[in-house]
Amino acid sequence: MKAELIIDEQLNEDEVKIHTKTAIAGARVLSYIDHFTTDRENLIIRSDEELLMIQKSDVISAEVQDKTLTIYTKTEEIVTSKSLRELLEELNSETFLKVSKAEMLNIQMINRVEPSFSGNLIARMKNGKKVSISRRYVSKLKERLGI
Amino acid sequence: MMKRLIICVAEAVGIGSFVYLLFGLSGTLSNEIISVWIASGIIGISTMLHYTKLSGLPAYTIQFTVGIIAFISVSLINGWIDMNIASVLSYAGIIFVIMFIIFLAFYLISFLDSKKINEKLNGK
Repeated sequence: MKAELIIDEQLNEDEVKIHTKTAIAGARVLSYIDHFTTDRENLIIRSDEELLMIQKSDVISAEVQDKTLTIYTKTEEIVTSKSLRELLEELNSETFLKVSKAEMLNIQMINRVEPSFSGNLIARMKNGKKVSISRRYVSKLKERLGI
Repeated sequence: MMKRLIICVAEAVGIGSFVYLLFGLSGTLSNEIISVWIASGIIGISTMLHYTKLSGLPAYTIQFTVGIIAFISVSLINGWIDMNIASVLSYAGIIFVIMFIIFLAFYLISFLDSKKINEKLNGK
């Protein structure tokens, strides 16, 4: 892969343009960039009556149950009234992927995936949690991984 | 590419079969067609178990049981099998084998996907 660095002092902010032959390669490069930029940013979550600040890359997974969203990080479980869609919009990173109607995960935090008879995949996360990846989202995960 | 081709062909066959059955609704087989759709729908409902907290072996057991009961009921109602223990048990065995093959196909697809994904995850 060719890479070129152009320094332009006229720019108001850093700008990165990626030219790839395939969408898969593009998605993979975007995922790498997000992992080292956006994922280092902080996320503010309102839980009960307090505001919590966590680094985006600390988020391992999140699931909705009975209209309540639980965010699992390396060290804690944060319960919030935020919706899964809102969380994904705030994370705004290729590192995070919605994997079913009720769950999302951090691709960088997957230890391994296991097959199942329903055709879904079970992701074993680095905190030991299991996350079910629906069949319809498996192709999206493969695309993000550059497969 | 081959996997995509198989999926496209399977989807097209599924749609084609459905359209063919729609034409059959106006004929003498309409009750049989509707009863098969109802049984298939009931199995579809039991598939929802995999999206609840009840997953794994209990969900598969319920799904298999529901499927076998649904199709035996349809067969008895439509007169496809005789109302005796031997016929019902042998029919249940056939349905079990068919459902098992379908599940095995899903497992194989998910096994191949998991193998590729794990290779990529280990290499990252």
